[in-house]
Amino acid sequence: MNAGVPPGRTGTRAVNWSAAVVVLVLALALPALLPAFELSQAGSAVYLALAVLSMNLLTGLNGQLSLGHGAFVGIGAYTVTILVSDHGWSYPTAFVAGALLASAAGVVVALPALRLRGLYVALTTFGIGLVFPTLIQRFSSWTGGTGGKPVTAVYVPPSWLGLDIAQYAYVLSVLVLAVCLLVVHRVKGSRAGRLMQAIRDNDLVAEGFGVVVPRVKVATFALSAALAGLAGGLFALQHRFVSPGDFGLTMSIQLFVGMAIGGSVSVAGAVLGGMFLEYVPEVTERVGVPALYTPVIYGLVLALIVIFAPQGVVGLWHRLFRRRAAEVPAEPRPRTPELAVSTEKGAE
Amino acid sequence: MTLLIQRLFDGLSSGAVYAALALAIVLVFRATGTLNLAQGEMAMFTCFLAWKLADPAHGLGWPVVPAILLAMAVGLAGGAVIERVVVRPVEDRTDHLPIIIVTLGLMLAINALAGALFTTDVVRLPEVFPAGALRLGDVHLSYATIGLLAVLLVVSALIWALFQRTRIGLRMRASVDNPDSARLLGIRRSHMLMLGWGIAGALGALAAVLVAPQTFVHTGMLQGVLLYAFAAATLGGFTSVLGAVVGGLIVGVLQSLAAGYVGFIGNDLSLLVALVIIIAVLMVKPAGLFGRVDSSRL
Repeated sequence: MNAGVPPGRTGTRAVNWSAAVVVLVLALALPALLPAFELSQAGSAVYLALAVLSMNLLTGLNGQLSLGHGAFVGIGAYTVTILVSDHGWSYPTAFVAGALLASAAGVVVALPALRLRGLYVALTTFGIGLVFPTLIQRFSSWTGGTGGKPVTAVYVPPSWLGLDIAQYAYVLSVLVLAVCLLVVHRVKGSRAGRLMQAIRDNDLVAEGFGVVVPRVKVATFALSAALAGLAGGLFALQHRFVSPGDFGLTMSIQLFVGMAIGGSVSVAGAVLGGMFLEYVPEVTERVGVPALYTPVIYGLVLALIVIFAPQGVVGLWHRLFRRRAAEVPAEPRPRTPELAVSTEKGAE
Repeated sequence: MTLLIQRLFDGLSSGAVYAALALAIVLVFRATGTLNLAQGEMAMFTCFLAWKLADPAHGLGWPVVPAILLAMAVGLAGGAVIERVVVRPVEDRTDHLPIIIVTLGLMLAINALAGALFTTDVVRLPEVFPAGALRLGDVHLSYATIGLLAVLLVVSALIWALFQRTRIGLRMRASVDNPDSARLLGIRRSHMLMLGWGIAGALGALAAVLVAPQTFVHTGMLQGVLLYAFAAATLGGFTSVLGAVVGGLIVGVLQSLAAGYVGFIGNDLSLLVALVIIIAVLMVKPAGLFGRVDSSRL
C-alpha cells in the first residue's frame, strides 16, 4: 500500500480543512434537521466511522491486520454500560475507563505480534473476534449474558442546549469522532506516525534503521484498540443497550469492509466507510435486494475494490481527480515470510 | 478413570473433524501461502448441498452417502473455480492484505448465499454412521467416533500418497517449492494451485458432513470449528499434512479435557481453548510441531 497524499501543498490543504469544518458544522446541525429515527442512523454512522478509523490507524498506517476489532468495540461498550449503570460512574470517566481497558486488551492481543508478522496476527485477532461473545456469555452476572444489558443511567443534556437525550448523545458522538479524526491525522504527520509507516513499508529495513519494531507495533495496536473502545462507548451512549451479538465476528468483519471501502490510509476514508456500513444495506434494500443478500454485496464490493481500487474510494478519488506526483510510492515489499514458508519445501 | 478415557475418545472424535478441516487449510496454505478464512463457509455451503440432496422432506431424498460424495465433488470444483476466479488476481501480490480481504469477502458472500439459497433455519443431515456404541467396560466408543477416525485415517493416507507417490503430487509440490523451475519443466502451476484449492474444498465438505450430526446444519455451523481447525493447523505447523492430523487430534483432546476438568472453562468457553492454543503456539514455537522455521530475505 502506498502512502496517502502527503499533507504538503498548502492550496489543497486549506480546501481540505475548510471542507472538514463545513462537514463538521453540517453534522452538528443534523439534530435540528432530521427526525429521531434518521438521527439515530446518523449516530450509528458516527460510531462506525470511529471504529473504522481505529482500523485505519492499525492497518493503513502500521500495516497490521485485525479481524477482531468488534471485540474492542464491545469491551468499550460493556465497560461504559457496567460502570455507568451498576457503579454510578459518570459518563466521561467511564469512557476513559472503557478506552483504557480496550487498549489493555489490545496490548495482550498484539503481544504475539512481537514475534510474528501479518497473517498470524490476522489469525489471533480472528480468534478474539469469535471468542469475545462467549466471554460475555460466560460472565453473565456482570454482563447480562446472551439477553444483553440495558444502560440504566441517562446522560442528561444541559437544559440550555435545548436537546433531548438522543440528540445530545448524537452531538457528543460527533464531537468525539471529530477529536479522534484530528488526533489520528496529527499522529500521521508526527514522528511516531512515520515510525509506524516505516514498519508498514518494510519492517526489516525499519529495524535496521533502529526502529524498535515491537514497541511501535504494540503501541499502535493499543491506540487503535482505545479508539475502538471509544466507539463502543458511543454505541452504549446512543443505543442504551448492549448485547453480545452486537460485537461478534460480524461486526469485526463489517469494520474491515468499511476500512477497505473507505481506503485504509485516509482519515476521510473512515467517515466514508462508516457511512457505507450504515446506509448501504438500507439503500440496497430499498432498490429491491433482500437484506439477506447484503453480505453478498459486501463480498462483491470487497473483491472489486481489491482488484480495481486497492486504496479504497478515497484512493480512487485521488487517482481520478488529483495529481499523485508528490506521492512517494512505497517500495514493494520483499516476498513476505509467510509466502517464503510456502515456497520452501513442505515438511513431509 | 472411565470418565477420563471417555473424554479422550470424545476429544479424538471432534479432533478428527478439526483435523479434516485443518488439512484443507494446510493444502491452501501450501498452494497459495494464505489463510483461507472462507474455508469454513465453503464447507458449510457444500454441507447444505448434501442436506438438500439427502433430505426426504425438503430435498431430493437421495441416500446420504451419494449425496455426500456429490457435495465433495462440488466442493472440489468450487474450490478450483474460486481459486481461478477470485483468488488468482490477487495471489501474486506481495502484500497479504488483498488476499485476506478477498477471502473475507468470500466468507461473507458464501454465508449469505447459503442462507438465501437453502435456509436460515437449523436443519439436520441424516447420519452416515449407525447409531449405537461399542462397549469397552464402562467406556462407550460410539460407531460414529470409530467411523470418524477411520475416515480421517483413510483421507490423510490418501493425501499423503497423493503428494508423495503420484506424479501429479510431485508436480504440485514442485510448483509450490520452486515455481520458476517448475514452470521451466512444463508444469502448469496455475492448474496445480487450482487443484490444491479444489482438494481443500472437497476435504472441507467432508469435514462439514462429518461434524453435522453434532452441530446440525446451519449457516453458522462451522465458525467455531474453523477456529479449532486453525488451532490445529497452527499446532501442526501450517505446512505439514501430518501436522494437521496430529494437531487436530491434540486440539480435540485438549478441548474435551479442558471442558471436562477446568470448571472456569466448561462448555461456554471452549472456544477460548482454541484461541489460547493458537497464541501459545505462535509465541513459543511459531513453526508448530512439524512446520518449517520461517526465514525472510531482504
